[in-house]
Amino acid sequence: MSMIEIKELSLVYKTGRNHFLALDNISTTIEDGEFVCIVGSSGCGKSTLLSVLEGLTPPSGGQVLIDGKPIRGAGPERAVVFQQYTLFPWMSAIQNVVFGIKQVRRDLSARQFDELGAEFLQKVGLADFMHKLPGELSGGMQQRVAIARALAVNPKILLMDEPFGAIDAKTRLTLQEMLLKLWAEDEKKKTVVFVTHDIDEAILLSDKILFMEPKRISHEIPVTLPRPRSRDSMYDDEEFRDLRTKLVILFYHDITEQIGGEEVFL
Amino acid sequence: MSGEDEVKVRLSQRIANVPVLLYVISMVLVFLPGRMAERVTMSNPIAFIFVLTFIIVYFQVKFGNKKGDKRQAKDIGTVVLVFFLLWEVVTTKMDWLPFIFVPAPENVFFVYIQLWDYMLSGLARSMFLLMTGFIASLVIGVSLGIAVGWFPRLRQAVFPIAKAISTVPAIIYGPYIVVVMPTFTSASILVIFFGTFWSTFMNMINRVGTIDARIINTAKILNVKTGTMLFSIIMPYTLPRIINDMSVALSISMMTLTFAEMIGADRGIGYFVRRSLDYANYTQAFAGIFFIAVVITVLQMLIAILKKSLIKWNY
Repeated sequence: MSMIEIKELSLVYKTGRNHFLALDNISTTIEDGEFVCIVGSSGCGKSTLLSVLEGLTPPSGGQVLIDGKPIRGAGPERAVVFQQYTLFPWMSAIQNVVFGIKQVRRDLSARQFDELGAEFLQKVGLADFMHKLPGELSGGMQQRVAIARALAVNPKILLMDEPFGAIDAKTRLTLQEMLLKLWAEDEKKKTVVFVTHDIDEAILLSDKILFMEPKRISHEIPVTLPRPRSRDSMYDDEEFRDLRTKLVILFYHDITEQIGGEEVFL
Repeated sequence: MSGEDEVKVRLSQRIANVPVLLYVISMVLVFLPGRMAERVTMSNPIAFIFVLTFIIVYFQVKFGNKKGDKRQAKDIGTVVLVFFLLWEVVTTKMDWLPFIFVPAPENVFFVYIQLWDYMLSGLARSMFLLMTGFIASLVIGVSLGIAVGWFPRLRQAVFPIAKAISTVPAIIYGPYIVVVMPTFTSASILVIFFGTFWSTFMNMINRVGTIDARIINTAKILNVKTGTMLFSIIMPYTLPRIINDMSVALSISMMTLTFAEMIGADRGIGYFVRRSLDYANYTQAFAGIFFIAVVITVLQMLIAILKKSLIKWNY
């Protein structure tokens, strides 16, 4: 069981004498095997929240528990995919994946490491690009490698910080479907926490959407659309449209508040 | 246009250009009688001819390189050959300058034929000192810099100190090291070491402190241990910059070496120049200076090759 419990979490950034409250008393629970998307406009703290889950930022107050134990730093039960520049540029695709595996497993031979790395690159459709350097791969391919590296360590929890944010729209669709497929094919599903500002992406992927206003989670919206989902059929679905409208209203209400609520230029 | 035409054009381009013209004029001049011969014993021009021929062959190689810049090759070839042509004219041919201070190129390059074994053993000696000091400084400076740079408190304390010390050239306290150390060899290695250690160390601390946070975070979330972080992540990530700095550090080391050899050596390439100057043998001094220039250039080329083969990615 890998349940994430966030209890009264708050985070203050201190720069000199200035204090900035980035997260204010957040509490929520993410169930084992659940696919959760954190949605919100820029600067609302969604990436900050994820970086606490990653273990890169220690909380200022409250705590985050995984299976009942508070997190301290990074851990082998969690793997992360960042938005960009997430591969080591001097290592080939397979070396990047194998490097990831080597940090948590010591029990394999060099050949087994390579085989495991190749297996996961194959899963993300990069069998022919294993020996390319990141600089020789497109942005989408680089994110595939990053996903392969994250999955290859067999984590219980996958944390994704706008992983497709810098990818062109068409490639993004392919990557979303690939991610769903990889997630669904696991017997024991991974818990995924996925940060995005793309509403369609959140609905397509998640079981639950955590909508963030600045500093806190304002809404928890379950997504009950049947799986497997695909973009083509979803647009005709009434539930999808209702959900989407709801989120769009939340989104723009939020923006209007932020900039004063008088006139909105979009 | 057929392929044959292209070859013909290229061939005529190769022959009809300024460097080739300069080469031909220089060669003709070498065989004409000159005024300097009336006062000075002239050496066999064979070494000078070899140098000129080497330059024109090297130019042709660069000029023929499909990817290279042809105009640049021509310009460099022109400048170098004009220099040698002028030198030949004002000394050997016209004898316009005091021959003691400005020796003829024939005589300068003939020194290599006369003294090749002596110069080569000097070179071997100098390279031993240079490489030992330089490599020790590089290895210790880089690894210590990475280790110190990784811990913020250590970095903040040590960086200003290293920066202050690095502003003092090793040459200043070099004579002291020579006095303190038991042998000249150990002293000059130490002087060369300190010639680049502090700046290498300081640069490395700084680089680790300013490394892209995304690379560090990626490594952290992969659960790397500190040793892996330092030597499998930070070291390769900073390698391109380390190699860039190597060429500067090498020049400084070379300077320190020649300095060290001027205080207490009994052989070596710096010593060779100093001795020649002491005995007012400017022909040999010129030969020694050219020799040092060639050695440094070759070493720099080796660094460039190293960089090309090692670094296949960019920031």
